[in-house]
Amino acid sequence: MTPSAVIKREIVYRRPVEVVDSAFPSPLRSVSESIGVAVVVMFLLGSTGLLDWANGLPAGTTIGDTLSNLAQRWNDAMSYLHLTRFAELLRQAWQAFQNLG
Amino acid sequence: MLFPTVNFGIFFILVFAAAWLLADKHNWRLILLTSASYVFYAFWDWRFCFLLFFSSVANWWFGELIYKSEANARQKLVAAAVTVDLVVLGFFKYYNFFLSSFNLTLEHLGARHDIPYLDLVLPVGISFFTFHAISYVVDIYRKKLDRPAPLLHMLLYISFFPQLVAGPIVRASHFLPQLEHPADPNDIRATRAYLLILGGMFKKVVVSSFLATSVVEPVFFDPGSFGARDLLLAVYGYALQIYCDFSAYTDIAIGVAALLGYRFPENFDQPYRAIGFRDFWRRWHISLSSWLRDYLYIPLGGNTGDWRRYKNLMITMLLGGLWHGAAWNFAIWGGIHGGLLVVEHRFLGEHWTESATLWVKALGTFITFQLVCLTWIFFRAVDLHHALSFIGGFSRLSAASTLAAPFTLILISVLLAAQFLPTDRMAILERYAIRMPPIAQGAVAGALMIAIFSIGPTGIAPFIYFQF
Repeated sequence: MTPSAVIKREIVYRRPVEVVDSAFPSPLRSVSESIGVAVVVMFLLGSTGLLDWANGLPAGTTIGDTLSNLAQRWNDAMSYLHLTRFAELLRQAWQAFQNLG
Repeated sequence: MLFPTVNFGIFFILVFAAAWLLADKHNWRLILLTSASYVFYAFWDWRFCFLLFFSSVANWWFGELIYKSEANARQKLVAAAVTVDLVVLGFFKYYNFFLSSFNLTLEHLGARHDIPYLDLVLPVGISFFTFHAISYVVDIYRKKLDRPAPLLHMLLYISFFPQLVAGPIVRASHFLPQLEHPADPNDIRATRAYLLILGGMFKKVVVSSFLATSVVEPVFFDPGSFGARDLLLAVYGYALQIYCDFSAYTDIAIGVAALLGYRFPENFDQPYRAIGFRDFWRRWHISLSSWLRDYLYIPLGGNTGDWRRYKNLMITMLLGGLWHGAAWNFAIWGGIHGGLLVVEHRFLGEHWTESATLWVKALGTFITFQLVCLTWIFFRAVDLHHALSFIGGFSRLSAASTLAAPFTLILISVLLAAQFLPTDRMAILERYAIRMPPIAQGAVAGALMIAIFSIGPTGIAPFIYFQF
């Protein structure tokens, strides 16, 4: 059998299985709502992580310093509202779980 | 720009918003996504944007020529295109490796060698976008694509940021047709995308990081200091680390692409429940194994005759191993897989699992997993000597374990058990998640994302497959 004949016989080019093929479709409006809410929730509960990120920006630049200051003030506000407790409690619980036994 | 970082989060939100604002301006949408992809790549090293552009344009041009040419010329043109792609890949990835091996050989022969090494930086994702480019020209040649893609489509296909640096390897014939029509803003598979992204983040940020720092790296750094039990734990840990790390990347990539309206293929299908190596390679890095089958194994002759099949399997797996990295331990890794595939074909046949009893299948799964873990030692080791030293350590049976903490054992057990969850587990989860209104879905997703980052270590290590 010639090589080209082999190729013609062997290649079935099975359509790859798409992971999202059987998934439920959603309209853009509801997707935008859910992503928007997710971002807000992350801002509220993840202020410490946001502060770490802002402090990692290049120091001495206007934008870096501004973002760092804003992130600090935001983190202070979220701490005041005890919203940073969510991440802290989870971290402590996970650490305790790791230290079992 | 790693996926699980604030930088990527900001980048993606902006791209998502802009892309869907341009939903009814199709070409402008494609220009935006292409530009965003080049910005994404420039974060790694802006200089290689030129290489990415060159690869895209060169292969597009070859595609045009192949399409317009007659049979003999088509064959020569596709050979030329593939050669150009492989030369570029070979130069950046394998020049120093082959030079080093060549110099060593000359040294053994007592000959002088003055060929200089080059201080080359490996472009991130070069193995992946080279395979995408080859897929394009070959699919044009084989007429799997009706016509060549417009240059803009080609630029986006090669550079599309979710898949650019670590796959999945998306065929031209699968992705380019999706670019011919505007993405449908009423058909975003968002809930499934959220599950994929969150699952991927958990696997990467929490599981893979924990296994790497607590078990794998200490043992592989100095295997001589550990006994057999810890060595075994490290091997199992690495098997799960690399699975979680790599499948996490592709899950996130698939989810991100889905939120932009594009569909990527499945890349992992519970590989550690495989019965035999043929089954393993239908479940592990599916996009690579199917690419190697269609673009290397079958052109070599495929299954024509027993001995030819075995030779083709070995060549394919050896090259598949070398694709992962310019080092002999990767070739050995691929060679062992090739050898085990040959043994399975020779002594068990193609359909041995169909008539096997449950006990035989269970034994087959167990043995396959142990052998896969053995090959991972070569994959993870620094070099061949390191791998053999690691394997030799299994003779230290009496040494006490210092790493078998209850949490570690529970985690590894749970991860292995998860390989046997129902194959439609994502669909089952989605049926519950979709009942929540969009605002609730968003709130839960946001809270879970923060939870994942809270319990993960600070700082994110690069994905393992970035080095390939």
